Amino acid sequence: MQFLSPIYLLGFLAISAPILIHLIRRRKVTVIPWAAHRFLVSVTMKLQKRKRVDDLILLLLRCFLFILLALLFARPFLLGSKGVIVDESDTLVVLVDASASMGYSNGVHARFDAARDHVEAALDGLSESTAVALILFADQAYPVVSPPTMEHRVILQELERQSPRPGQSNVTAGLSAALELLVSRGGGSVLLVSDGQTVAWQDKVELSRLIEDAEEQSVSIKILNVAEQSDASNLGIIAFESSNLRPITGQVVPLQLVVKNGGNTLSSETRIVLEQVAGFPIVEAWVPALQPGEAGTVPMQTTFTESGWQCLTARLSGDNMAADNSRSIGLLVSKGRRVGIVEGSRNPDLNVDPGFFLSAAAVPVSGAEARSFPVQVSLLEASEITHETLSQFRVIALAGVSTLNRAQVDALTAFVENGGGLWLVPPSEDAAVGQFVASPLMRELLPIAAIDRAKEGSGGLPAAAPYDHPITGFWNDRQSGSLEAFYIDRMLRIEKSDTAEGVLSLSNGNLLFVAQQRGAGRVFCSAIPLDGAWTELPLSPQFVPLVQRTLAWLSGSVDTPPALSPGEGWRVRVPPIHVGRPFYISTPLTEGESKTAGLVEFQEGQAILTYSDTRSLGRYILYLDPDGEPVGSFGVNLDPIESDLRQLTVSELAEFTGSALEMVAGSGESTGMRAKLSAALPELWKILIFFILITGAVEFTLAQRFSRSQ
Amino acid sequence: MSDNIPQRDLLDPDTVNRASALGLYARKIVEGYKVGEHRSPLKGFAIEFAQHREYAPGDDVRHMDWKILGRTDRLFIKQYEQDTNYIAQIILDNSASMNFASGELSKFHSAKVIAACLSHVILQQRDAVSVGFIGDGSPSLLPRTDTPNRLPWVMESLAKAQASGNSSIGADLLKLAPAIKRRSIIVIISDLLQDEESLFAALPRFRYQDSEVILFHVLDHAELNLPYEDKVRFEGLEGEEALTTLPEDFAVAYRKEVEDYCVKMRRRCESNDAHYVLVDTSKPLSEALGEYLSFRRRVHR
Repeated sequence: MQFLSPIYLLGFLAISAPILIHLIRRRKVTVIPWAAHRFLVSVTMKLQKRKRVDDLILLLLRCFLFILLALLFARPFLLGSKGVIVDESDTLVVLVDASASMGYSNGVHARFDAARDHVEAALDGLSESTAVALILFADQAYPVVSPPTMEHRVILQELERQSPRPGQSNVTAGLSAALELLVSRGGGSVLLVSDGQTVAWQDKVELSRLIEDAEEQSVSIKILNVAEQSDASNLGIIAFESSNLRPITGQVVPLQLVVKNGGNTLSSETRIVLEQVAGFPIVEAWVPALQPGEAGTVPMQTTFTESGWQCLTARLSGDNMAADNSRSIGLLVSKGRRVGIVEGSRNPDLNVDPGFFLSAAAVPVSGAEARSFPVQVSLLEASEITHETLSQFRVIALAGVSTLNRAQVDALTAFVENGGGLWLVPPSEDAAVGQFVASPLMRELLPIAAIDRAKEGSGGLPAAAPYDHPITGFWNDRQSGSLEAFYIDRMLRIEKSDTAEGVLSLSNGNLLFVAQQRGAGRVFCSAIPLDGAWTELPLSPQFVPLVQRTLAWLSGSVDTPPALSPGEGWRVRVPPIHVGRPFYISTPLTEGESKTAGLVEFQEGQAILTYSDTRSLGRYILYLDPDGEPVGSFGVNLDPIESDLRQLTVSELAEFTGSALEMVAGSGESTGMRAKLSAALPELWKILIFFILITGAVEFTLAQRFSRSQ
Repeated sequence: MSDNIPQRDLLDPDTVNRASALGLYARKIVEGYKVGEHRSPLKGFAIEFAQHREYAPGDDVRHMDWKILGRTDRLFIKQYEQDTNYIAQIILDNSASMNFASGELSKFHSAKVIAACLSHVILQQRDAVSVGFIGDGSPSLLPRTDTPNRLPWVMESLAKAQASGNSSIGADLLKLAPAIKRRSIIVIISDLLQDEESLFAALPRFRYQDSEVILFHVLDHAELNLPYEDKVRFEGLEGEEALTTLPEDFAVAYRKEVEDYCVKMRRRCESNDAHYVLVDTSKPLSEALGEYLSFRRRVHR
């Protein structure tokens, strides 16, 4: 056992006090034969009441003594204690964590408020000759007061203006900026005020290097944790996705949400809602109870009645950390979907016509219904595959097209890169199949690594559920029927490329459908022609939904991201006529109103609208005309990693511990801050000891005095 | 605490001198048995005319008032005031509590001195004295004497007396009552620490007898003031349970308690037509006795 302050062992001398009192009071009792006993008895009886009061006083004193002892062991930290946090040095960099988790509130004040208080307390006790700089950090460092100033109140004033930012905590960036500043001034101290999130300390190699550098440069780093031990509950949406970002009106849009329990206690069942217009929930679901660290998937769906750019927001019932309670995505809703089917050949025998079944399944109605059907099909000739023609369609299906020229391939490639969907269907005639397999230009379009002619006996039944891909995921529900209902006689043998994904395989493992995200668009390839020559699929009841879901998936991508991280920029092409004109935006800060946000620029031959001020989390909707239709929408969402509130453990902290790194008292206790806490006990400890001694002495004296009058 | 002391010590010269000068005069009319300095309740035929009374057969015709017979033709007898001596019953409380002494001399010794001095004064006045003891369960009353020559015998009786026992003084007093047949001056000397209720229950008996009662309440200075500072174990003289305490913690309350008690005794004495005299044994007895006798003298006039 060692002592931090052996001088206090002199306190043992204090035991002489009770010994002396004991010796002084150990006088012999005088025995007196007494006659007037009746008066003594009468008076002492009356004194019994006073004795009860004495006992009560002693009781209160003893209770107070134990309260003080409990307080002592609880290691209270008094905000405003002077000189307890930082050492005196010429320069101090106050490095404050401003990540989203610092917005976590215990219901009274947020961690960032506590950080302000702690910084104020630290500066209170600081010599006026110490120059202080203020740097905030979230996903990057934000110097607020730099170079350092001796006007400490400036630090406090600036810190008062700051608030948590929607980024994740990146200690490495903050520490690096602080060290850079101090090294240029020949050393100093860093007071790192943080909530001790584990995720902020993940870059262990770089952090260790920084700490070693700090030690070499005579820079001491003190870490102050402001997280309270009870900071433990946080449910956050860490993913919000839709496989179809370009739905059509009236179409059911499946959505997938992932909710994670980032706290350390079991979460309760929580309501989650979906909003198309901010503040107006239209769909609700319930997140099941989740264990700490566990994530749960919540499937939801919605439909849109109006076309154009829409913004969807999923919102959890409020908890202590608001930043991760909602996520938004932007979608482009169309009134209809234009599909162009390019047939390689026409065959009077419709059973073997390459485009007949496809076009019939794309518009499975006739007459007036077909004209109002969301999907409109146009049959195109291969010669019509040009940039201009393709720009009129969302999906192009090459049905039985075996060869293409360079211009056509380039046009199709550009079409896909810009967000279009391309469906490649091989021909069924042997000669055409040979050309299809051998065409190098066609291979540029196909999302496959290898393709070969079909072999006898390579067919079979599709594999049984479950299916992973959004297209086939529909049949995971048995009520939707079964994909095992059709037989494949022949098929091409294909191997998907590295970037492609299998959509459906046969039970023998041969790939039937392959899909690929390419640029902003998507490509889908089947290993069978969609006629009746090789398979009975076109005649199966699953064919129409399969075609519809494939067309929806192919047209479901947009060339703009549906959501961004804070600070990322967003751009969209607009008609050239708008170049140089202002555009407007509705952000979470404008509360629904659209405000001028910049001018449309001319870049690379196109009119581009660029917006990069995405510091706030929430919905962003862009307009070219403040009263017109939106030209883009997106959500700015918190990095999912920031939802994880787990605190640095002692063992994790030990990996960074160096002579330059020291933990000082904070309100947090769950982190490794305890490690060196004893080295910096605040003054309140001494005050408590003082009061304990005083109370004990008073109690002892009174107890002695009261006990003598029995 | 023994009170085997020489007889002469009981007669404090100063006390005796002051008491002798003041004398002890019967506040009320006492029923003496011979002619003395005090008025007798009996209407006799001596010197000073008192009143007339109608003649009754058997009356001595020598006391017939012939003048009235001559004027009114009715028979009246003349009656005269009769002076007499008195008998003082000096009764001492000899219960064990009287043995308490914070100094050299106990309360019982002080009581004896008071009794001796009073006896001396009374005998010098040619009045009679009878000494008695109560409080030990066997009350006794010595034969009365009215000759100064018998003073040594009285002193000897007092000197021999011991304080012991724990009996009710009131009950003992009632036992003595039959022996006190005449109206007398009854002097009770006690510390009143034991069953004072019984004492005040007995006093009416003497009040109805028209005797005069004087109560000397003898308390030690320590009993009045509780002057102890250290821890003390008080052991009861009359068998009370021992009490260990720190007297300084409640000395004030104790003094108030004693003072209230004395005031209460005084009031109860007054309500019984008795004189109450508080005697602090630490003070010269001549003072206490002299003051009282002076008071009596003023009343007598």
